[in-house]
This record gives sequence, C-alpha cells and structure tokens, in this order.
Amino acid sequence: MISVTDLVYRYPAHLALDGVSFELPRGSISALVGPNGAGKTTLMKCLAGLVRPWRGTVTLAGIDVVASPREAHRHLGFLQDFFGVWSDMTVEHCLVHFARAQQVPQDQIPQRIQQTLALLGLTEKASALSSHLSRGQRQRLAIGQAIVHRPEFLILDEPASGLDPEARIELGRTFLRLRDEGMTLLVSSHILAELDQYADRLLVIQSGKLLQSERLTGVAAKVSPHRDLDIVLSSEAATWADRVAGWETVEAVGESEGVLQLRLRGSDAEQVALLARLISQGAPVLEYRLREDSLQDRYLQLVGGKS
Amino acid sequence: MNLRRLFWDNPELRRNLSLELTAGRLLWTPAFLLVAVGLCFLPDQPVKDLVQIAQWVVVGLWMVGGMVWGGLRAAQSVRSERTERTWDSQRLTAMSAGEFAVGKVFGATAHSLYLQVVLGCFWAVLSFMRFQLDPSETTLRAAVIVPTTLVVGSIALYSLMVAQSFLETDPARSAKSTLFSFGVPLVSAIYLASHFWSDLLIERQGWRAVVGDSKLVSWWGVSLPGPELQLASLLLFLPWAWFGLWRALRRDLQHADFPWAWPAFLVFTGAYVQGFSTAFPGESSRVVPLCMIPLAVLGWGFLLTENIDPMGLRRLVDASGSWRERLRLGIPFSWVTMPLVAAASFVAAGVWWLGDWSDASEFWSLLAGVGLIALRDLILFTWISCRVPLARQGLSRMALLVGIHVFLPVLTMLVSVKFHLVWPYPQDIDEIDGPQMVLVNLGSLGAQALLAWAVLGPSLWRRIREV
Repeated sequence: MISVTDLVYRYPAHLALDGVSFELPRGSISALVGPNGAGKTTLMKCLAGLVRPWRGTVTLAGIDVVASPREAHRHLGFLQDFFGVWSDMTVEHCLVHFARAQQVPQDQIPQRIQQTLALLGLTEKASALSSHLSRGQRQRLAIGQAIVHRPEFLILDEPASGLDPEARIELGRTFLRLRDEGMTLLVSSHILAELDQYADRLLVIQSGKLLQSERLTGVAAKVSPHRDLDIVLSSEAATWADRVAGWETVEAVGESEGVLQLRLRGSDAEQVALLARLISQGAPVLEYRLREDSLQDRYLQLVGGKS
Repeated sequence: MNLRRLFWDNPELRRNLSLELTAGRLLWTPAFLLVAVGLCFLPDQPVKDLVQIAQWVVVGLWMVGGMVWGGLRAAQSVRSERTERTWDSQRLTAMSAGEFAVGKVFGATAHSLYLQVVLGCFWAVLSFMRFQLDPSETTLRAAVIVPTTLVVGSIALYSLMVAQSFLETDPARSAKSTLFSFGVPLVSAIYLASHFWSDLLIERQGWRAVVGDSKLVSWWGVSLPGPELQLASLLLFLPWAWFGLWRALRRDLQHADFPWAWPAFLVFTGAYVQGFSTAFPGESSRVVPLCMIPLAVLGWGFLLTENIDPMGLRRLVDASGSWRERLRLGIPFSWVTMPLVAAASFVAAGVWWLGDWSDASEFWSLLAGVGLIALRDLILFTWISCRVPLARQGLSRMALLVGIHVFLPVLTMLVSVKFHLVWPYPQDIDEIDGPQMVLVNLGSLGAQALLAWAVLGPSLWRRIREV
C-alpha cells in the first residue's frame, strides 16, 4: 500500500503540493488527473523519492520514502513524462543493466529479461539498438527498465503522450496485465478516455490540493448510494414515468424521447427487482441500461465545481 | 563496504566499460601511441637524447590524453545523462553513491585510463633504457614519481569533474568550460601550491639556512624532496576529492548530508598548510596563522561563486524547527566557511594578543579585522545571491568585490583621509596603543559588519519568507 500524509512541496512563490493525503491499495490502478501545473508531476516525484518534500510522509510497503529513498526504490518503478533511453545500447543491454542495478540475483536475470521482453512485446527487438526503436517501442523499453525488478509499485507520468492509438490501447492492456500480476499502478494522464480503460481509482488534484480520492467500479462508475438508469420503452414513456414515481426505491424520475430516466436508491438487488416489477406490470421495455458518468464527466464535475 | 559490489559487480562500471573499451579502441590506442613514440627515435641524435625526447612526448600525450581527454569524459558523464534524461532512471535504482562514483570515475574514463596504462608501459621501457645510459638516483626517482603523479592527478581530476556535474547550476555550461574553469585550475592549484612551498622553502636565500643544502622540505617534521612532497600532497587530497564526489552523489540521491564534512576539510587543509611552519624552528609563533590562508581563500572563493538558493534557505528555516533536519538538508558552504573564517580569526587574534602584546600589536588586529570582514562579506554576498537576478549575480559579485576590497581602499589612500574610518582593512597606527587601538583599528570594521547585518539582514529574511 502507498500511504501519503500531509505532503507539502514548495516552489518559489508557488505551493505545488498543499497537504496532500491519500492511500492506494495493492493491486489497483489509480488515475491521477488534474490541470497543467496542478502538482501531479511533483507529487509523483515525491512518491518516488526523487525530490524531498517540505513536509509530510510517504510510506511505500512500510518504507519511509523520505528517510530511505534507496530502499524504497527496490520496490518501485517510475516512468517520467520526459524519459530517455541510452541510444548506444541494445534493448537487452538496457534491461540487463537495470536488472543488475536493482540487485536482481545474477542467475535470475536472463529469465527476468525474457519475461519483461515478452510482457512488453519487445522480444524480437532484444538485440536492436534503442536508437532504432519507434517512439512506442522506446516507451515500452522505458517501462521495461522500470519493471524489470518486478516492483510492487509502478508510477507512470503521462505514459501515453506521443503514442499512436494502437500503441495506447496496447499500453492499457499492458497496465492491466501488470495489475493482474499484483502490481499497484499510479498513472497520470491528460487523456481521460484512455484512463477509463484501465483505472479503478481516481485521484483529482488541483492547485496542489487533492480534490477527490475515490474508487471507481466497472468502467469509471463511482460508488454511490444511488444509480441512474435509462429504460427505453416502445410507447407510453410519460405514463410509465408517472406510475413509477411513487415506487419506494425510486428517488427521481424523468422522461425524454421515449426514455424513462430513473434514479434508483439501492444496489444490484433493488435494480433487479425494479426491472422485474416493470416487466410484470407490462411495461414495453426495449432496452435497459445503467447510465454511467465517464471518468471525464466525473473529473469535470470535480474540477469545475472547485475552480 | 562491499568491495565486490563496488568494483567487480558494479553495474554502472560494467555498463561504461562495455561502451568505452571496444575492441577497436583496445587495438588502435596502443598502435597509435607506438607510432607516436616510435617517431621520436627517427632523428639522428645520441640515444640518450632520443630517449629523453620520447619521455617528454609520453608525458605530453599523458597530459592531453589522460588528463584533458579523460577530464572531459568525466565532466560529460553525468551531464550527458541529464541531457538525455537517463539520469533520473539511474537515480531510481538501488545503486549506492559509492557504486555510482566508481562507475563514473573509472568507467566513463576507461578509455583514458587504458591509454594511461599503455603510456605507463612505454614510460617504464623508456625509463629502463635511460637508466642503462644514466644510472643515477634522479633517473630512478623520475621513473616512479612522474607516472604516479600523473595517474593520481588524473584520478583526482576525474573525481572533481564528476562531482562538479552535480553542483553545476548552469545547464548551458559545457563540459569543456567546466574542465578548464574549475577542474584543471583546482588540481593545478594543489600541485603548484606544493611546488611553490617547496621552491620557496628550498630556494629563498633567507630560508636556506632552515632547510640547509639538502633541498628537502620540512613538513610537520618530515623532510621530503620537492617532487615527492608534491606527489604526497596530491595523495593527501585525493581521498577528499573522492569524498567530495561521494557526498555530491549522496545529496543528489536524496540521502542525508554530512554536516561535518566541510569543516573537517577546512581543518585538514589548514593543518596541511600549517605543517610547513615547522620549517621555522623557534619562529613558529610568527607563522601560526599559516593555516588561515587556505581557510580564507576557500571561504571567499565559495562566497564569490556559490549560488545560494533562497528556496534552500527557506527550507532550512522551515525544517520543522529541527537542527538535525537542517544539517541533513545541507547548509550552504559559504555559511559554514565564513563563520569558520571569522571564528578562527578571532581565536588566532586572541591567542596572538595574549601571547605577546608588544611584538604583535599589528598582527593581532589584522587577524581580528579579517574576522569582521568575513562577517560583513557573508551578509553582503548572500544578499546578492538571494536578491539579484541569477543572470546578473556574477557581475554584481565582482563589482562588489572590486568596490569594497580594491576601489575603496585605493580611494581612501589617494585622498589621505583617516584610513581607519573607511578603510576596510585594519590599520596600524603607531601613535596609538593599548585598548584605544582596539577601538581605532577595529571600530570601523565592526561598524561596517554591524551596519551590513542591520540593513541587509531584515531584507534577506523577508526575501526568504516570501519565496
């Protein structure tokens, strides 16, 4: 688990982080979003022990990152927004260097290299100079350097910037594979639709303050005591709107162009019961769907509300 | 310390060696050097002369290939990683500061070190040839002293160059500029200083009585010939070069600082210089403040060149009220050095004054005056660092230095006013003696220091609080 408490970081005449606190559970992918200059990169650098916060603590797998940055690095991988790879070294040589640097036992290094190459789809490029790689391949090599020691935590700052759509989709799949292997990821990106694909937590930061830290379920659906449903009826939507308005689990009702819009209080059981009741009473249901806020909607709602 | 991890299993060293020592370089370097040295034997001259010429060529190649080229490689080693944005990835590994230091100093310069090994072999052969022709002790000593001095000097230079990469605040500054403006002058200074002392102590007519005709220099009671003293001096300071690099790396890797490192270095340097005072038996009281020279040079040197970041000062102020945390963050060198200069000056002045009032009436006040000047200049130059835009700081510092240490004294001298009122140096006024002299000699300097702190101190404090 990553635990951050009351983190403060200051630049000249600018408070980059202002008392940020949150916790990230193991095996999760968290999206860190916020406007430019919100403090995302500074927060990530503090988490990685690359800069020393003015105040506050960062604990990673029980290690105080501020007091013992080098120890923490053995459990951590970090891909920065502007990263570099050695152009005069082959892909395999780069990975071997980082495996050695992270003190992976010598006898395990060949296996780790092969696993990492396979995971990132770089096996065929193992002996290529990194200067001969495409932008997406270099990105994957940089991720490989960060994960070759199998860290528990991986922090990625704008990992998809500059990648083509195919490479972005592949990157998202890679993150899900890493999470499935038990890794905890924190990903910063401006491309919210892309974060929708894999993030299960949302951290919103603005002007150095953490506006929201929440868990997302499914694809960006926030945990909430109520849920919004769209029920498409073949006819009489207005009539059915009046009828369901009095039902006890229904909090609000609307109707638009044949679509009955309900706000339901409760969980899956109440949702199932509502559908069963509608059909049993003869409602002409064509389609029945949960209306989800996208991560983008949620972000705009939070940032817009605070700005 | 795990020596195996530090050298044999050092990932950074292995990475650099694989890049630097390519098969082509391993073959072509000795071939090229062999041709260069071989050409020296073509002229039709006595063999003894040809061997001597070849030895000079080897030394020249050693200086250029070993020191200048290697120094450049060392200066570029971290700089290029920062430019190519690979350094932060390296910082995120589990490699220690020691591993990085060895990896950079002996890895990034591996080609130059290989060149030095080859040149060392040539030197050994040439020295053997020369010894056959001229079997003197001088030949034998030169065979050992010259290459050892060059190797030790190179490694000290490499260490300083890598360390300087971490202290460099100007990203546009080239490695060449760093090498020629910092590294070479510093290593040369150590060498030339020891050369100066040995030369001075041996050759000066008045002091020959002290050292006799032995041409040996006395240093803390140990008598050494000049070249050996110079080599010993480099060897004494080499661990400090390594320590400086290790410390710079540790700071870059976000480790705790060593607050005692800088004062310890100053004490060591002072003790080194003070060692030469033992060449003056019976007159040691005259040269007691010899150790003040490096202290003052380093103190004002850093005061003039160090970029004190107001954010760093703010961080020290805000360090949760903990002195341990402040020491861990690292106090600016100037703020360690200059108070040390002042403290040492006052102590030395007190010792002098108590020891022999009449004989030392001039000197003790000079020492105390240096202390007051140090306190005054500390606040003046810190204020410039924090208040003047970075681009104009160099010029401002130089203007202030010339103004208060050259222009003002010359002006007061030209107009023949009572010097002690404006003169930034302590005065010797023969007609005044006793406690009155304390006021006259040091009153002006004390007032200047007090005024500087009273006027600039609050302004500096506001600046620190507002960043």
